[in-house]
Amino acid sequence: MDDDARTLARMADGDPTAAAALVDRLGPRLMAFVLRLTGGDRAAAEDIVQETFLRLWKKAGDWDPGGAAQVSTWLGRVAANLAIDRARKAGRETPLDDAVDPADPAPGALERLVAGERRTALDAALARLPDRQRQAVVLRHMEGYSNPDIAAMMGCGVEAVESLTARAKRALAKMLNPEEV
Amino acid sequence: MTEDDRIAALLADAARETAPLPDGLRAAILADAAQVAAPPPRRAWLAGLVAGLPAAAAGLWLGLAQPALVLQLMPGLSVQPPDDTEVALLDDVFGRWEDDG
Repeated sequence: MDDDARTLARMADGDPTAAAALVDRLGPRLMAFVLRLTGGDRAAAEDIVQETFLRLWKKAGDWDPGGAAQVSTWLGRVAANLAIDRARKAGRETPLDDAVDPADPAPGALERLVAGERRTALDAALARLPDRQRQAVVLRHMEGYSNPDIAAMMGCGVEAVESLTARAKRALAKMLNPEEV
Repeated sequence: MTEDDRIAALLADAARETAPLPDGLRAAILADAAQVAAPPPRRAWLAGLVAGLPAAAAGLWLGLAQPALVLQLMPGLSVQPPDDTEVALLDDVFGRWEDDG
Protein backbone atom coordinates (compact mmCIF):
# COMPACT_ATOMS: atom_id res chain seq x y z
CA MET A 1 0.00 0.00 0.00
CA ASP A 2 1.49 3.40 -0.91
CA ASP A 3 1.53 6.45 1.34
CA ASP A 4 -1.49 8.02 -0.31
CA ALA A 5 -3.55 4.85 0.06
CA ARG A 6 -2.56 4.64 3.74
CA THR A 7 -3.55 8.26 4.25
CA LEU A 8 -6.85 7.64 2.50
CA ALA A 9 -7.50 4.67 4.79
CA ARG A 10 -6.85 6.92 7.79
CA MET A 11 -9.32 9.42 6.38
CA ALA A 12 -11.94 6.67 6.03
CA ASP A 13 -11.29 5.72 9.67
CA GLY A 14 -12.15 9.26 10.75
CA ASP A 15 -8.70 10.84 11.10
CA PRO A 16 -9.44 14.55 10.51
CA THR A 17 -5.84 15.33 9.52
CA ALA A 18 -5.67 12.74 6.77
CA ALA A 19 -7.82 14.64 4.27
CA ALA A 20 -5.71 17.77 4.69
CA ALA A 21 -2.54 15.75 4.16
CA LEU A 22 -3.88 14.30 0.93
CA VAL A 23 -5.09 17.66 -0.35
CA ASP A 24 -1.77 19.32 0.41
CA ARG A 25 0.24 16.53 -1.19
CA LEU A 26 -1.85 15.87 -4.31
CA GLY A 27 -3.88 19.04 -4.79
CA PRO A 28 -1.27 21.38 -6.32
CA ARG A 29 -0.24 18.84 -8.93
CA LEU A 30 -3.87 18.11 -9.76
CA MET A 31 -4.69 21.80 -9.97
CA ALA A 32 -1.89 22.44 -12.47
CA PHE A 33 -3.01 19.51 -14.58
CA VAL A 34 -6.64 20.61 -14.63
CA LEU A 35 -5.72 24.21 -15.35
CA ARG A 36 -3.93 23.03 -18.48
CA LEU A 37 -6.81 20.81 -19.50
CA THR A 38 -9.25 23.70 -19.18
CA GLY A 39 -6.97 26.11 -21.01
CA GLY A 40 -6.43 28.25 -17.93
CA ASP A 41 -10.11 28.54 -16.96
CA ARG A 42 -9.53 28.89 -13.22
CA ALA A 43 -13.19 28.76 -12.16
CA ALA A 44 -13.77 25.57 -14.13
CA ALA A 45 -10.53 24.09 -12.84
CA GLU A 46 -11.48 24.77 -9.22
CA ASP A 47 -14.91 23.18 -9.70
CA ILE A 48 -13.33 20.11 -11.24
CA VAL A 49 -10.67 19.77 -8.54
CA GLN A 50 -13.30 20.06 -5.80
CA GLU A 51 -15.57 17.52 -7.46
CA THR A 52 -12.64 15.15 -8.00
CA PHE A 53 -11.68 15.21 -4.34
CA LEU A 54 -15.34 14.83 -3.32
CA ARG A 55 -15.50 11.63 -5.36
CA LEU A 56 -12.32 10.44 -3.67
CA TRP A 57 -13.78 11.08 -0.21
CA LYS A 58 -16.89 9.11 -1.13
CA LYS A 59 -14.73 6.25 -2.35
CA ALA A 60 -12.36 6.28 0.63
CA GLY A 61 -14.20 3.56 2.55
CA ASP A 62 -14.24 1.24 -0.46
CA TRP A 63 -10.71 1.93 -1.68
CA ASP A 64 -8.83 -1.27 -2.45
CA PRO A 65 -5.40 -0.78 -0.89
CA GLY A 66 -4.05 -3.77 -2.75
CA GLY A 67 -5.44 -2.65 -6.07
CA ALA A 68 -3.37 -1.52 -8.98
CA ALA A 69 -4.65 2.04 -9.00
CA GLN A 70 -2.67 4.71 -7.18
CA VAL A 71 -4.62 7.54 -5.58
CA SER A 72 -2.82 10.16 -7.68
CA THR A 73 -3.50 8.25 -10.89
CA TRP A 74 -7.14 7.79 -9.95
CA LEU A 75 -7.50 11.51 -9.24
CA GLY A 76 -5.95 12.42 -12.58
CA ARG A 77 -8.23 10.14 -14.52
CA VAL A 78 -11.37 11.35 -12.76
CA ALA A 79 -10.34 14.97 -13.25
CA ALA A 80 -9.61 14.38 -16.93
CA ASN A 81 -13.01 12.79 -17.44
CA LEU A 82 -14.72 15.66 -15.64
CA ALA A 83 -12.85 18.24 -17.70
CA ILE A 84 -13.65 16.50 -20.97
CA ASP A 85 -17.33 16.13 -20.00
CA ARG A 86 -17.52 19.73 -18.94
CA ALA A 87 -16.06 20.98 -22.21
CA ARG A 88 -18.39 18.72 -24.15
CA LYS A 89 -21.47 19.92 -22.28
CA ALA A 90 -20.41 23.52 -22.63
CA GLY A 91 -20.45 22.99 -26.38
CA ARG A 92 -17.15 24.68 -26.75
CA GLU A 93 -15.59 21.84 -28.62
CA THR A 94 -14.91 22.05 -32.29
CA PRO A 95 -15.54 18.84 -34.19
CA LEU A 96 -12.35 17.20 -35.34
CA ASP A 97 -13.01 17.78 -39.02
CA ASP A 98 -13.74 21.44 -38.44
CA ALA A 99 -10.91 22.10 -36.05
CA VAL A 100 -8.73 24.87 -37.29
CA ASP A 101 -5.22 25.61 -36.25
CA PRO A 102 -5.08 28.71 -34.10
CA ALA A 103 -3.89 31.95 -35.53
CA ASP A 104 -0.30 33.02 -35.25
CA PRO A 105 0.59 34.17 -31.77
CA ALA A 106 1.15 37.72 -30.82
CA PRO A 107 4.73 38.87 -31.38
CA GLY A 108 7.01 38.18 -28.47
CA ALA A 109 6.04 34.64 -27.59
CA LEU A 110 9.52 33.36 -28.37
CA GLU A 111 11.15 36.18 -26.45
CA ARG A 112 9.09 35.39 -23.37
CA LEU A 113 10.03 31.76 -23.72
CA VAL A 114 13.72 32.53 -23.96
CA ALA A 115 13.53 34.99 -21.10
CA GLY A 116 12.50 32.28 -18.72
CA GLU A 117 8.76 32.66 -18.99
CA ARG A 118 8.49 29.31 -20.62
CA ARG A 119 5.66 28.21 -18.43
CA THR A 120 3.62 31.30 -19.19
CA ALA A 121 4.27 30.99 -22.89
CA LEU A 122 3.43 27.29 -22.94
CA ASP A 123 0.27 27.77 -20.90
CA ALA A 124 -0.80 30.62 -23.15
CA ALA A 125 -0.18 28.49 -26.22
CA LEU A 126 -2.08 25.54 -24.74
CA ALA A 127 -4.99 27.81 -23.92
CA ARG A 128 -5.17 28.86 -27.55
CA LEU A 129 -5.54 25.32 -28.82
CA PRO A 130 -8.97 23.91 -29.67
CA ASP A 131 -10.29 21.99 -26.66
CA ARG A 132 -9.86 18.51 -28.07
CA GLN A 133 -6.33 19.15 -29.30
CA ARG A 134 -5.39 20.54 -25.91
CA GLN A 135 -6.96 17.61 -24.06
CA ALA A 136 -5.22 15.07 -26.27
CA VAL A 137 -1.77 16.63 -26.06
CA VAL A 138 -1.95 17.25 -22.30
CA LEU A 139 -3.10 13.71 -21.58
CA ARG A 140 -0.52 12.18 -23.92
CA HIS A 141 2.59 14.25 -23.38
CA MET A 142 2.09 15.69 -19.90
CA GLU A 143 0.28 12.86 -18.14
CA GLY A 144 1.63 9.95 -20.12
CA TYR A 145 -1.66 8.23 -20.88
CA SER A 146 -1.66 5.79 -23.77
CA ASN A 147 -3.53 6.64 -26.93
CA PRO A 148 -6.16 3.92 -26.31
CA ASP A 149 -6.75 5.30 -22.81
CA ILE A 150 -7.14 8.81 -24.18
CA ALA A 151 -9.46 7.55 -26.90
CA ALA A 152 -11.66 5.94 -24.23
CA MET A 153 -11.73 9.10 -22.14
CA MET A 154 -12.47 11.35 -25.08
CA GLY A 155 -14.95 9.02 -26.73
CA CYS A 156 -13.15 8.78 -30.05
CA GLY A 157 -10.86 6.43 -31.94
CA VAL A 158 -7.14 5.96 -31.50
CA GLU A 159 -6.46 7.44 -34.94
CA ALA A 160 -8.37 10.56 -33.94
CA VAL A 161 -6.21 10.88 -30.83
CA GLU A 162 -3.04 10.54 -32.89
CA SER A 163 -4.29 13.17 -35.30
CA LEU A 164 -5.32 15.54 -32.51
CA THR A 165 -1.97 15.14 -30.78
CA ALA A 166 0.05 15.70 -33.94
CA ARG A 167 -1.93 18.78 -34.87
CA ALA A 168 -1.64 20.14 -31.35
CA LYS A 169 2.13 19.77 -31.36
CA ARG A 170 2.40 21.45 -34.75
CA ALA A 171 0.24 24.30 -33.51
CA LEU A 172 2.27 24.64 -30.30
CA ALA A 173 5.53 24.69 -32.25
CA LYS A 174 4.10 27.36 -34.49
CA MET A 175 2.98 29.48 -31.55
CA LEU A 176 6.11 29.06 -29.47
CA ASN A 177 8.61 29.39 -32.26
CA PRO A 178 6.94 31.07 -35.22
CA GLU A 179 10.13 32.05 -37.01
CA GLU A 180 11.40 28.49 -37.35
CA VAL A 181 8.16 26.79 -38.40
CA MET B 1 16.20 16.91 -31.72
CA THR B 2 13.27 17.50 -34.06
CA GLU B 3 10.72 20.20 -33.45
CA ASP B 4 8.22 17.50 -32.54
CA ASP B 5 10.57 16.03 -29.93
CA ARG B 6 11.36 19.48 -28.58
CA ILE B 7 7.67 20.24 -28.01
CA ALA B 8 7.14 16.83 -26.41
CA ALA B 9 10.08 17.44 -24.07
CA LEU B 10 8.79 20.90 -23.24
CA LEU B 11 5.38 19.43 -22.33
CA ALA B 12 6.91 16.63 -20.26
CA ASP B 13 9.07 19.12 -18.40
CA ALA B 14 6.07 21.35 -17.64
CA ALA B 15 4.12 18.37 -16.34
CA ARG B 16 6.13 18.44 -13.13
CA GLU B 17 4.94 21.92 -12.25
CA THR B 18 2.30 22.55 -9.63
CA ALA B 19 -0.30 25.22 -8.91
CA PRO B 20 -1.17 26.01 -5.28
CA LEU B 21 -4.78 25.57 -4.29
CA PRO B 22 -6.50 28.82 -3.32
CA ASP B 23 -7.35 28.93 0.39
CA GLY B 24 -11.09 28.99 -0.30
CA LEU B 25 -10.90 25.92 -2.52
CA ARG B 26 -8.77 24.04 0.01
CA ALA B 27 -11.27 24.87 2.75
CA ALA B 28 -14.20 23.76 0.59
CA ILE B 29 -12.51 20.45 -0.22
CA LEU B 30 -11.80 19.79 3.46
CA ALA B 31 -15.38 20.74 4.37
CA ASP B 32 -16.57 18.15 1.85
CA ALA B 33 -14.28 15.59 3.48
CA ALA B 34 -15.63 16.36 6.95
CA GLN B 35 -19.20 16.07 5.71
CA VAL B 36 -18.60 12.75 4.00
CA ALA B 37 -16.68 11.34 6.98
CA ALA B 38 -19.28 12.38 9.58
CA PRO B 39 -21.96 9.76 10.37
CA PRO B 40 -25.36 10.73 9.00
CA PRO B 41 -27.65 12.38 11.58
CA ARG B 42 -30.02 9.84 13.16
CA ARG B 43 -33.61 10.69 12.50
CA ALA B 44 -35.68 11.59 15.55
CA TRP B 45 -38.47 9.17 14.69
CA LEU B 46 -35.98 6.38 14.30
CA ALA B 47 -34.55 7.08 17.76
CA GLY B 48 -38.09 7.09 19.20
CA LEU B 49 -38.86 3.82 17.48
CA VAL B 50 -35.70 2.19 18.75
CA ALA B 51 -36.34 3.30 22.34
CA GLY B 52 -40.11 2.87 22.32
CA LEU B 53 -40.58 -0.56 20.80
CA PRO B 54 -38.78 -2.55 23.52
CA ALA B 55 -40.56 -0.57 26.25
CA ALA B 56 -43.94 -1.23 24.66
CA ALA B 57 -43.17 -4.92 24.26
CA ALA B 58 -42.08 -5.20 27.89
CA GLY B 59 -45.25 -3.44 29.06
CA LEU B 60 -47.45 -5.74 27.00
CA TRP B 61 -45.69 -8.84 28.28
CA LEU B 62 -46.01 -7.64 31.87
CA GLY B 63 -49.72 -6.92 31.49
CA LEU B 64 -50.47 -10.31 30.00
CA ALA B 65 -48.14 -12.53 32.00
CA GLN B 66 -48.21 -10.79 35.36
CA PRO B 67 -51.68 -9.20 35.79
CA ALA B 68 -51.61 -9.46 39.59
CA LEU B 69 -48.41 -7.47 39.70
CA VAL B 70 -49.90 -4.79 37.47
CA LEU B 71 -53.09 -4.56 39.55
CA GLN B 72 -51.07 -4.41 42.73
CA LEU B 73 -49.22 -1.42 41.37
CA MET B 74 -52.45 0.25 40.11
CA PRO B 75 -54.74 0.69 43.20
CA GLY B 76 -57.67 2.09 41.21
CA LEU B 77 -58.19 -1.23 39.51
CA SER B 78 -59.63 -4.39 41.12
CA VAL B 79 -60.51 -7.92 40.13
CA GLN B 80 -62.60 -8.58 43.28
CA PRO B 81 -66.19 -9.70 42.47
CA PRO B 82 -68.84 -7.01 43.22
CA ASP B 83 -70.72 -7.28 46.51
CA ASP B 84 -74.56 -7.52 46.74
CA THR B 85 -75.10 -3.76 46.80
CA GLU B 86 -73.05 -3.28 43.67
CA VAL B 87 -74.91 -6.12 41.94
CA ALA B 88 -78.28 -4.55 42.83
CA LEU B 89 -77.17 -1.17 41.53
CA LEU B 90 -75.90 -2.67 38.30
CA ASP B 91 -79.17 -4.64 37.89
CA ASP B 92 -81.16 -1.39 38.26
CA VAL B 93 -79.12 0.32 35.60
CA PHE B 94 -78.69 -2.47 33.05
CA GLY B 95 -81.47 -4.90 33.98
CA ARG B 96 -80.98 -8.54 34.85
CA TRP B 97 -80.63 -11.47 32.55
CA GLU B 98 -83.09 -14.18 33.62
CA ASP B 99 -82.01 -17.65 32.81
CA ASP B 100 -85.04 -19.64 31.64
CA GLY B 101 -83.32 -22.87 32.54
